[in-house]
Amino acid sequence: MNRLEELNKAADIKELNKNTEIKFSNEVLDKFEKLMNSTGLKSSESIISSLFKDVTDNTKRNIDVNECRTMERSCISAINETAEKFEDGNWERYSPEERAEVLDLLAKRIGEICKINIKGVQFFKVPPNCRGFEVGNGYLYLHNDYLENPELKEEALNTLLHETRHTFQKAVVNDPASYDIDAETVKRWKNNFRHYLDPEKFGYMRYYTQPVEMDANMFAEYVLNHREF
Amino acid sequence: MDYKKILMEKFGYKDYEADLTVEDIVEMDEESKKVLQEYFDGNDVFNYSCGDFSVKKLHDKYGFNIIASILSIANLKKDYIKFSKLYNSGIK
Repeated sequence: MNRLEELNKAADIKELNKNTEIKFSNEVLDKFEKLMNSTGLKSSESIISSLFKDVTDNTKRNIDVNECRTMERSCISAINETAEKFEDGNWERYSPEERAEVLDLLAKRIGEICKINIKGVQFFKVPPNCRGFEVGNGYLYLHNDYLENPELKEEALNTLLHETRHTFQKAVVNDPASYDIDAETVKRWKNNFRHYLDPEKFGYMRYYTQPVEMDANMFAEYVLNHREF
Repeated sequence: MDYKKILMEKFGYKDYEADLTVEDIVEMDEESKKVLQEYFDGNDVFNYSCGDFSVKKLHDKYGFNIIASILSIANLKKDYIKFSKLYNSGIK
C-alpha cells in the first residue's frame, strides 16, 4: 500500500480526524514545496493544478473527484456555447453591465446542464483580497474587478468555475443519493466542510491545501484547459 | 511551551484546530516563534513584517487573526517571492 492509499484508508476510517488531516496536509505541503521551488509555475492556480497532477492520477481518483468527469464535460460544453462572448475582443468591448450579463448567463447555463441550483452571479467590491465566494443560496459572488477590468477575463472564468464547484460539492454532500459520487468522496467533502480551514485563522497554506479547495482549483483549471477557445 | 493549551484556553481554538496550528507553529523560524511568544504575553506585534506584508496589514486588510498573520510572515520569510505571489492571488 503506497502512502496515498494509506492516507485514503486512514481518512475513510477516521473521518479525517486531526491526525489524518495533519498527515494529509504534510504530504501535500511537501509536494507544494517542491513545486514552489520549480521555475515554470506562474500562478497559484498553476501551482495547485500541477500539485494535483503531481500527486498522481490515483490521488485524483481516490481522494476528491472520482466521477467528476461528468461535471467537467458539462461545464466545458457550457463554456464552449458562450465562446463568441469571450473571443475576438468581444469581452474587451463589452461594458461592465454586459460582462455581468455574460457571466450570469454562463453560470445559469452551467447550473442547468449540471443539475445544480445556480440562480446567477452577483458582484461585490469588498474585501479586496476575496475574489469570489458562495454561501449555498444558489448565487455565485464574484469580485466587481472582473467587470471593470477586462484583462481579468481568465481569472473571472476561473473563479466562476471554482465557486460553481463548491456549489456542486455542497449539493452532493446535502443529497448524495442524487449524484453519482462515491461515498468516500462525499464523506471527505462533508468532513472538510464541517472542519473548514479559514485562511483568516489558519493562514493560506492550510486553506489552499484542504480537500474542497484543491478540488475546486483543480476542477476550474481542468475545464479551462479543455475548452475550445 | 504548551502551544495547544494556550490556543485552546486563551484563544478558543477547538482541539483539531489547535493541533493543526501547533504543527505549523513548530515549523516556524525562531524569530517568528519569539514574536508569537510576545503576542501570547500580551504585547503589540503589529510591526512584525516581511517585505510588503506586516502583521498589521494581514490583520487589518486581509482579516487574519494575529496568529495566522505571524504564521504567514514566517512563510514569507522562507520564500518571499513565491509566497507573496500566492497571498496576492486572493481567496475564493
